[in-house]
Amino acid sequence: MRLSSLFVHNFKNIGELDLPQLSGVNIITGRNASGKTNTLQSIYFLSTLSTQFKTYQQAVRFGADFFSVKGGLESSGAQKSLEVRYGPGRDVKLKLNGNTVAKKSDYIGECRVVNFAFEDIDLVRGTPGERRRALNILISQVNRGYLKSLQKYTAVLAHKNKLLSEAFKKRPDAAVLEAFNEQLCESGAEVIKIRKEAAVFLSQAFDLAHKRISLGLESASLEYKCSFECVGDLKAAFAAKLKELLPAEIARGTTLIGPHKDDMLFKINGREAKYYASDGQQRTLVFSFKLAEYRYMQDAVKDDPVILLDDVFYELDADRKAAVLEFFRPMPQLFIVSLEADWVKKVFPDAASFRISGGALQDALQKE
Amino acid sequence: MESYNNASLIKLINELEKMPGIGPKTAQRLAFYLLKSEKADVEKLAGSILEAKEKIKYCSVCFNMTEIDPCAICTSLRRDRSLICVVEEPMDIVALDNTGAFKGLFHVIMGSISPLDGIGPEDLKIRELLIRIGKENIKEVIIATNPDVAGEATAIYLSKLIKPLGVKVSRLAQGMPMGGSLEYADEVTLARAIEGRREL
Repeated sequence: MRLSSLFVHNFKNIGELDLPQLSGVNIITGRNASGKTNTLQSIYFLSTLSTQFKTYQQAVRFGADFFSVKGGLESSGAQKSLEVRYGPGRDVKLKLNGNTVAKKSDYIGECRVVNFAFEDIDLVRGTPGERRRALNILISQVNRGYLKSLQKYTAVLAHKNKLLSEAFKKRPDAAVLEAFNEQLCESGAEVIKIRKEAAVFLSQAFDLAHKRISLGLESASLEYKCSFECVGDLKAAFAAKLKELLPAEIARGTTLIGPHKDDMLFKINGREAKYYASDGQQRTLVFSFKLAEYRYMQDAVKDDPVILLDDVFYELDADRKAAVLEFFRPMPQLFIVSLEADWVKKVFPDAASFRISGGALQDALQKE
Repeated sequence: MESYNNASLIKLINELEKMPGIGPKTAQRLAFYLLKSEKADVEKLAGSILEAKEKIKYCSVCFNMTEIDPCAICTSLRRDRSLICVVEEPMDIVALDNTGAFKGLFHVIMGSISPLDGIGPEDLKIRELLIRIGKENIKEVIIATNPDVAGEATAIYLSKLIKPLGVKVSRLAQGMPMGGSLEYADEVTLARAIEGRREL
């Protein structure tokens, strides 16, 4: 798939940015704090509805009272238009081909992206929450059933945790807890099942990509780590463990196991990369993982996602930068953020470049 | 705002806005409509609101809304008195009764179990339902709570309570809406419809 146009208003530090004609390779350049990364993030937001913030309000440009991101999309020969608007005190308003879409789960996945960013290293180094989030965003883009099960699980979990959090002043009704546990098991088992299947595919693609980068010297794998022993029937195992843990959950005031406590381990040569990989190895691991994400989406929907590259070349010399870019040559659409456009132009002479300044387009030097 | 310096008008708009489905714009429209209407019409409206509020009570048996207690459904001789359909709100009775497909009795539990809103089983008319099942000769309870998280939890909770009493418990079927097209149904609905399929 390819984004054919992008219109951003009041999103983060971008005032008004109109890019009516996008190419296969798009270079976004500009000084520091000009809005390069935010341009990329507006595409990420248009696709996944997620930002790094807790609330949408935080993504509204200072002094403005709304933001909107619009994009035209070409996907398997069809033209689509996507639009997200946010105003204060409301939820986001979604439009697909001009028609309002009420549920996020009917919108996410229309435009699919893989985002390569400097902070990806947190996937290896950071908390399990960041890895779960990455998995959720990845799978949700290609599997709406997954997103719906996840939303249901999250809603049930909130109810159950509320009951448990008040357990110290009022002993919760065992039958009520059971009623929520039953729903938790059903949606939770579905979430775990799909995540485990995804992890198997990702692990293979991850190892393959990593072997290519490490010249076959290292083996890499991913392992989905369930917060309880999930053998045999997943739903039954989840239910049995929840039953066993009920007194502990009442004592601790929260749900102790489930997809919201699971993790995905990055391994290098069989050891956990968080502890046993060097900085350079961790960098190449996350890069390989992102390439695996790309393969996963491509395989799941038989269509290539849009690639966003945000300063992933930061620590590399010119030769390595060019070598890394070669990985992206077969992909139909790239957005590359960089301080300089020249070195990208050497690899992709046909690239369109957009110079951003003060959150707006300075000049478009398309296909000189 | 100078255009809005009439305290009584603002008060009326605020009161209208409290109603479900009424936003600020609609509240304004309704308020201006009322002010433009004949005084007699407005009095008629105010009178009927008050009259309904005074006369209509909850049925002491099923908690439906009624002027005569017990309500017409509870006292009807043409209904199957061995069937009870459990619903969340009195409004749901109207919807189900209009189908003509259900000829049994109803019981409104006045909400659903929702810990996030601080609503537990003790806040609902569940004890009254259990007493009814014990007293009357009930063979089957049909649970027609909403298919959301709280409604599902209430259904599961009720079935755990009622099944040990030796009464059959069933849940409304979920699946494809009539006149719906397969391609527009979401995955969850379709999966439910496949689970709940019928032999032809």
